[in-house]
Amino acid sequence: MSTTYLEAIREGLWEEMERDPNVFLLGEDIGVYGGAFKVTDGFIEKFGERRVVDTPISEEAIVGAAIGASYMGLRPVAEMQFADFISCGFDMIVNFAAKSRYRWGAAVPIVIRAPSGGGIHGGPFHSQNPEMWFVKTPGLKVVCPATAYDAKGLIKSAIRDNDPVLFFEHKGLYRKIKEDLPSEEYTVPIGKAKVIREGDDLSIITYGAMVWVALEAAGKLEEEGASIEVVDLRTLLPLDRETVCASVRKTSKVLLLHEDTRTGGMAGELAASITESVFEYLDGPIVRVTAPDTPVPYAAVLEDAFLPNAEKVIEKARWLWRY
Amino acid sequence: MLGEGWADQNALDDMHASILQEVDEAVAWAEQSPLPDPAGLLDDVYESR
Repeated sequence: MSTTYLEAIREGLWEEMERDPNVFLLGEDIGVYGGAFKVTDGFIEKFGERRVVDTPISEEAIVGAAIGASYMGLRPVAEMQFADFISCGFDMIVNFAAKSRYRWGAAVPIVIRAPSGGGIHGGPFHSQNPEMWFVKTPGLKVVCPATAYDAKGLIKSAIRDNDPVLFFEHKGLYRKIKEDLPSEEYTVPIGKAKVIREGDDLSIITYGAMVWVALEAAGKLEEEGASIEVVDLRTLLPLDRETVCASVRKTSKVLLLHEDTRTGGMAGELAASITESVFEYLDGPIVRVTAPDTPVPYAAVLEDAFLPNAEKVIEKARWLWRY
Repeated sequence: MLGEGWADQNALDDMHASILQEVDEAVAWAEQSPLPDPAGLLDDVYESR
């Protein structure tokens, strides 16, 4: 039976809570209401209110409580109702969770789930992709699954990880994609990218919802004779530079794609890494397709202009392919 | 507010009606307005634009 991206996250959480009694959930409206997106619907009935904790509207308190609980041996999974509001818990994340091990050797095995991304006409406060706020913070791990398989496997790995993991789940994928998942248990390792489509002429390096845009573009360009490789980063921190560079060595042309805004986006770090490591393999300039440097617009026509899509990728990829 | 004498029922009813009217007018204005021009995507991020 096909499983949606949202259901895959539910399954991962459910299985980990059954496996380990130290795992518990906390967040705004995750219990009685089942979560803003219903990811945790039915959890409080199964696991009880001591393990599915409805909290006040305070992201700082949610993350702080999660850190404290982790110090006491628990494994909390905190939900930010929208990733945009993770900013209210910023100090707890970057100054406490990220540095706790480094400063006094205390592990912080917490997961912070952050529904992110646009394309749902949510406007500037409910559509952002704030992953890069955290990618530059050593001590954190940042994952961005694109598929249902990876969403389930990565949430399970994140819960078992002994360091703080930020789990960015794209809202636009929740009910949009589905696939058959293995019936047996599995996990997906954090820190490992995946070549999701093999190709020889050009590499598209991307993550999250943009993986699907890249695949759509690659399929259309194939009709023109272009063989496009698509690399899904899956984890942004730690970054799997080896898989990225291997793809560039293979195709010699690279297009970097993300839904996040351009300046300070993941593409900049990737471009620098590629230039440092495999510059001599490049047969063309490194090309970026990203959102422009503006807040996410509310008006549908502006959001459509803001978001990267297959047409924008095809235009840039075709140019680079023929370069 | 009624109990404390800060307002009477007529004043509250008037306030309620005026708020509804303001909202209705705003919705009507929005629905009659043209969609934004995509060329203005970067407008208003900073003062100079």
